[in-house]
Amino acid sequence: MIIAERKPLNEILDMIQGVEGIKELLVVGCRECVTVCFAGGEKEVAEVASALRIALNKEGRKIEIEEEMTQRTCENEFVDAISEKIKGSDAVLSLACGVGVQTIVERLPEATVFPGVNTTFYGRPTEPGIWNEYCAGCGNCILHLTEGICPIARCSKNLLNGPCGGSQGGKCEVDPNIDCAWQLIYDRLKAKGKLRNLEEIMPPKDWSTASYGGVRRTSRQDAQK
Amino acid sequence: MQPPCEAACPAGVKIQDYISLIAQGRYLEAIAVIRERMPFPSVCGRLCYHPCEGECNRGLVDEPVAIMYLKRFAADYEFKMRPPLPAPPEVTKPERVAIIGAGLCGLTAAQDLAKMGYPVTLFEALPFPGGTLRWAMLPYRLPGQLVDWDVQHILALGVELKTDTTLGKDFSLGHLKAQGYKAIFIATGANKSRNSSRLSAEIIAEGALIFGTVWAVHAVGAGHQAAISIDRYLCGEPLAAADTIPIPVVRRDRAELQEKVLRGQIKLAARAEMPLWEPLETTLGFIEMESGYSEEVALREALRCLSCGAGAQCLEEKCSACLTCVRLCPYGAPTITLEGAVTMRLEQCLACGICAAECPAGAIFMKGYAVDEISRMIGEKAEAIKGDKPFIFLFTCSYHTTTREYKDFPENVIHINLPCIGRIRTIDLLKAFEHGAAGLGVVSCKGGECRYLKGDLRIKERVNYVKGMLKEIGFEESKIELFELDSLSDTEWLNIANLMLERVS
Repeated sequence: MIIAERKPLNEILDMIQGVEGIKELLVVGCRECVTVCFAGGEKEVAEVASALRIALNKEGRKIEIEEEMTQRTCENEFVDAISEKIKGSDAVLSLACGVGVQTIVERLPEATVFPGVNTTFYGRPTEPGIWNEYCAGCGNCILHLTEGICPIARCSKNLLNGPCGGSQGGKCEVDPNIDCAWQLIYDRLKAKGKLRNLEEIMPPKDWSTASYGGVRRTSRQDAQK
Repeated sequence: MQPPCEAACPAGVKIQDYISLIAQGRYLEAIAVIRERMPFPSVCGRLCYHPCEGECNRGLVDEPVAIMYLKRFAADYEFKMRPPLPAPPEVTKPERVAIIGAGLCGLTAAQDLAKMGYPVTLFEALPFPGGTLRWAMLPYRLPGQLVDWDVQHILALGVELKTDTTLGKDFSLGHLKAQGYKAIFIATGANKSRNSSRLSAEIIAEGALIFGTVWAVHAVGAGHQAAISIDRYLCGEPLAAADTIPIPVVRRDRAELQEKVLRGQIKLAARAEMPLWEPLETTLGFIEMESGYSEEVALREALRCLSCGAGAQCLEEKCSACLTCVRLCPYGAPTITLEGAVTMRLEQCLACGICAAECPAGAIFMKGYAVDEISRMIGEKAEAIKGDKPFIFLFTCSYHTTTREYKDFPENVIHINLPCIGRIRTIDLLKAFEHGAAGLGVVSCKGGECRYLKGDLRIKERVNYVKGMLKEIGFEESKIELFELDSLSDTEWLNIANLMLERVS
């Protein structure tokens, strides 16, 4: 799923206070990915709203802060469902991912929307409270060639043909908290008796399916109206 | 799901609710809950046959919770404090109701009907209300002034009482009808008088009259039933309500509970004995033999409740299936079904509140010890104290204390005592600041002593998280502090409160 993390509250405050005339702010969360990664669910919405009230009260600024949830902010219909609430506010602080923020803007062009979270990567919780990147969305999956471990997302250098010289004790030289993806691939290939696969040289990757080929779009005729 | 104690109570007392309020030191709220369904806690705190205790699941761990004695404790506490009597509810119904017999049954019906908005008159042959228990019980068994105190609560609702007025001698049913009473309830009860056996549509006779002497708790139950039927009759509905689907009862398994004991998830705790006065004192004074629980004993006893069915429930429409509850529950109550959905096994839940406090979707609520009630309490208490002087909150754990009466706290300390502070959410801590608190002291157990195994660890993380948030908005992190103390550390609370006050002023 999409992983995001809350922006520091001082940055959020700066965004809000940088715009004149905000009397009512609506904090909007999303019940999908950002709920699961503790960035923008109902709990975070309440906490961020409360913290902002505490901060603004200290500075003597009078901003009414309300709280709202959407089922999935990246859907037109779910944003439309709270459009009256949004129109009744001077600005929105969205705790949905970047897609959600832009959906609100598209549906309600008049709205002022601040991003309350940084959308970071596609990943998963490897243990409670820790999320790791697992997919880079490169648009051309090669997991069948690398024993189900993605060197694009999980090798810091996106290498396709084995580790770099910075792999030490199974860890990445960029950060010792990162497992070396190529060590993981090697270990799995070895366990399966398929080490010879490594002799096959992967050609340079075609990055046009990743964002380097321009803004991406997929379509499916039979799903269209 | 309902707890077995409540399912067993003939009067329908919300037993678990009042036990939990006692456990939080909220004794006057506890007695208010009791009075809703049991207007005679003095009687049923002493003379009940307590079918609730026979069904108590705690009996499968060690011994049942002493429900009756706890009821008496709450009643005795109220009698000692003498809070104001309830205000009379507004009379909203025109139909006058006559109740013949001011015993437990008649008085209970009078309480219920008065609360529904009916004008009620009680006719009592004796010179005083209270029925058999008031005149037949010797004071060493049931002190009469306690029954009188209970009766005052009912009369305070605007119920009119006519004593020394006997049916068949001083008035007849015809008189009552002529006077405009639209319903007459004969509740002459367990004593010898049987003046009327005539039943018509206007008249409902109570259980004791028809079936013979019953326990006090049954008389009260019959009073509730009568009030419902009279209301239905006056509203033009059939007397008997339509069949309702019975609420399932939380039944627990001895083997499963014993396993939890072995794993240390449930700690054994003996049932508190009822203390007795010295025999000489009882004999000379002709007073009760049983002296009633002290506050310390009552708190301890109330905390033995397993909170059956009062635990976590999931609002499916909000649940994101993030699995946080599955991962954090110390008891394995939330689980993943074969179909891949998250489900709460209520019978496994000990109502610690950790999952509800951690759920990022706000999808979990607690049937008992409602977590969102904490925020409400914080708001109310803060608004009541707000002034020029800085004030602080002190959050403490009921398991650490033997009393709720900390009269030594300075007035600008708001003290909130909860059965395990692991149920305090991050938002509750923030709400305290939002309502103007200058500082927060949070007292937790030292690692490993938490009754719920993980409450201390969770609150530690939440306090640290709030510290981080405070820092981000330019506040001192030291405005909130966690104090890890040994159990029964309430003697330290005042020092902690003073330390926090000093820090913020």
